[in-house]
Amino acid sequence: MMTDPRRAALYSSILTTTTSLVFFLTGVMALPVPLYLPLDHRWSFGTVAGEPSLSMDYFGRSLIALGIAGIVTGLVALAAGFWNRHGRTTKPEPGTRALRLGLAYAVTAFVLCASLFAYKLYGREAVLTDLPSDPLP
Amino acid sequence: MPARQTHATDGECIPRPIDIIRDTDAVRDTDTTQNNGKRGALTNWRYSPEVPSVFLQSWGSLLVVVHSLSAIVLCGASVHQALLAVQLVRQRPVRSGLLRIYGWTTLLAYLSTVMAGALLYPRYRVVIRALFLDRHAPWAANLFDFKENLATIGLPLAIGALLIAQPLSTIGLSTPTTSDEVLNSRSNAAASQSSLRVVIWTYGVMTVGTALVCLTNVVAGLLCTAVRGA
Repeated sequence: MMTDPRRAALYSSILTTTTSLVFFLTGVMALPVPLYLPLDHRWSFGTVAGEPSLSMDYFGRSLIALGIAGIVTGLVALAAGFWNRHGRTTKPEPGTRALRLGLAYAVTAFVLCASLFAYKLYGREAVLTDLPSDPLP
Repeated sequence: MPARQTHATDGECIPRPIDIIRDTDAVRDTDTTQNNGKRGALTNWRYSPEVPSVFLQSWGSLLVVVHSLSAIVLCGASVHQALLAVQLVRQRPVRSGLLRIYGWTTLLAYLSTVMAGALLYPRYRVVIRALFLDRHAPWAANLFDFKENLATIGLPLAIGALLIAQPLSTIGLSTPTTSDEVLNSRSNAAASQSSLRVVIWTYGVMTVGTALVCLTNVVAGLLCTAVRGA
């Protein structure tokens, strides 16, 4: 665990911002993601539109967003540690401006992402799944 | 279901016990057909052999209970954590140990809720959404999907709150002084008062955001469940 609250705050902002941005991208672009096909009991990689069977992209989108955010935050933390150890900066801790910017980016990205999915899902028309036969005669 | 009849050796017809079998006939929903005495298409189709089984389908009830209990713990912990953060922002003293306790409790309950929900999701997608919600209550399916997406982007908030709570709990916020006085008393060159104020605000945003996400998801989940008690 980190001992400096400023670094913790900055990394938290980076994690939140990156997760929201990547998740936002998966919502506006047809990115290939891991898909789970519950009726076939198997995984595939691609887009929902490319799968003829009922498919679920939520797991894939979540894993990609959280995974990329974790990697980015880890790389930033590693880079900051490397620079501090080698004395290449005279100001090892993030300043007030950086913290405010990080918080502003995090809030903006989160609100933007939540708004996108609220907009996309509001009034979405259901696509009836082609199951063995219609349950209603 | 009529009782089956069987013939005894003496030719007398005696009744056998009624066999309990699953009714797989497709019938109209009870909302649209009067007095058919059946719960409707969902009940039949949930057990129909024509619908392929999905991952952990038979564990659904247990997972729903785990999911609900985790969500109850999560709501309590996240709201308490948010209230602590508001106290910090208002420069009121708080017990520093509670920052760590609520941070860990919130994150563990969040992960437990998300994991149970993820295990339930294939069953929900086929049995609940595809067979019922998409046909009869698409708004509920949309609300449910929004809830799921919100849970994913809310997870970093819970992680961030814990990351900040750990070091915050070690800088003496438990003393009965304002946090400004605490911060002023720190002679550490790296600890400037203004930047720590921003840290506390960041902590406030993370914790309040986590609590809002949790409360929104609980309300959405209850609304979706109330559609059919599914």
